[in-house]
Amino acid sequence: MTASRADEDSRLVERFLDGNLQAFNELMAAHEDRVFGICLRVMRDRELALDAVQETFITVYRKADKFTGESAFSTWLYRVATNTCYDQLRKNKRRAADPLPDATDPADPHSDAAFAAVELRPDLQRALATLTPEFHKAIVLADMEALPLQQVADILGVPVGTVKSRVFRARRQLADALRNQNPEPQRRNGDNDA
Amino acid sequence: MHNHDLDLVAARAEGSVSPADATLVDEWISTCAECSQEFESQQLALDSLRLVEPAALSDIERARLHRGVREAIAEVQLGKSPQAHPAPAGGRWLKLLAGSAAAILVLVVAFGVVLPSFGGRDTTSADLALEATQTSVAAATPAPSAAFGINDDATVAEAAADAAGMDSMVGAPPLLQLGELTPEDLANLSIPIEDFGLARATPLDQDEPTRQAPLPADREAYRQAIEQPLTCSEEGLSLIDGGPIWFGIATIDGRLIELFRSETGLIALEASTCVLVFPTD
Ligand SMILES: [Zn+2]
Repeated sequence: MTASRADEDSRLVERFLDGNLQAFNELMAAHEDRVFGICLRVMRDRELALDAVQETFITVYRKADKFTGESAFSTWLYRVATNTCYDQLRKNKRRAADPLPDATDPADPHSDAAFAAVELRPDLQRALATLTPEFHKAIVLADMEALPLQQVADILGVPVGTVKSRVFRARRQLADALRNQNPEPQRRNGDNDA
Repeated sequence: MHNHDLDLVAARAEGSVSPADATLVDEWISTCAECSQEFESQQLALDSLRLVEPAALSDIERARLHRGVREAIAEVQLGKSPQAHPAPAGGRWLKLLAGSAAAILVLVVAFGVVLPSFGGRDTTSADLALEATQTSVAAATPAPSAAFGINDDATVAEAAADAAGMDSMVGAPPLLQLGELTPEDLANLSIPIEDFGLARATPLDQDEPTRQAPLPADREAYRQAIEQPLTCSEEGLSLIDGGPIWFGIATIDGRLIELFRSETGLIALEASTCVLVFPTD
């Protein structure tokens, strides 16, 4: 998140609040991929993630006047996105920690694409699914989306120290979960699975 | 009992410690089994997570997202949503919609009554114009439409948009979407615009009842939302009859037509070329 991006966002938010729809479109274009990334890591399904992204931007459209400018627009946006995704998970009665349907289940025509759809190794996917929502959010924002710790703290509404602690503990649990799935030494990406 | 700081070991794994702390932690790792395991765990997690590629929308997903957001925003602006936010520009849009929709409904209802005296046509294009206008009013102003007994559901707005040749409702709807008309319909619409003082007296914008400019901001928002050219310049429009007021769109033979209300009546211009469609002489 560069200062110039933040400045540009502030300018666009002002224009949007003045009634310029194009400014809203520009804000969306600037952030939609990152928001999709966050939602995809939380929802673990491209369709559900796309729904959540749409809901996020509609919320932003409706509630832009609630954005106080105390944090960067992106921080506020990603907080809306994170909350939206977890809300939708709750509505879908599925938790981020729930395993995805078995990828070989022939009853679900989309399930064989489950891994490809979220672009994660299946073992990592399963390991991530063992994390609590707090740890999962921390890992998604700090490690997978590589956001600065201060921004993650602002998004989650907790101190930076808490974020650090959650990230470290989440990585610890993730490693344990990976080891439990693969007792043998970890294969690196690209190695032959045969 | 283990008394080393495991968070410092974790920080060492991600490379975020000072050189002095790095030396200290390296000593722990080489001599303490627990610190060594912590360091390996952190590295294993980091190595796995660093392999993850950033996610991005595909072109199709991006298009679907944009369409979905546009449609939802249109619903918010039309007051369909129970939590409709007074969106930027939306408040003024709705006032404009209410004002001009009411005015045009009066015009067309009146027109339906007086039509026989203008050549004896009894249905067809007059009914079409009436129906199209009522449909638009229903889409734009739920309460008045209910008062007139017009079916008001979400599909009405979509149907009006489809009739106007658009894929979907857009972020900034025009004041009225009259759907497919014929040139005769335009001629007939112009009569009440000229002759009925009530319509001309109805302010299009409650905040600015005397404004004569063609609503540049709203028209521009509409142009951006439909991603089609509206080629008539504001400067050029301001030269016509003291500045006609943009109040809606329609299609004729599938061509998008902009409708303006001027002091002398209706002015219709083809959106993509700015060619005058009405009046023709
Ligand atoms: Zn130790």
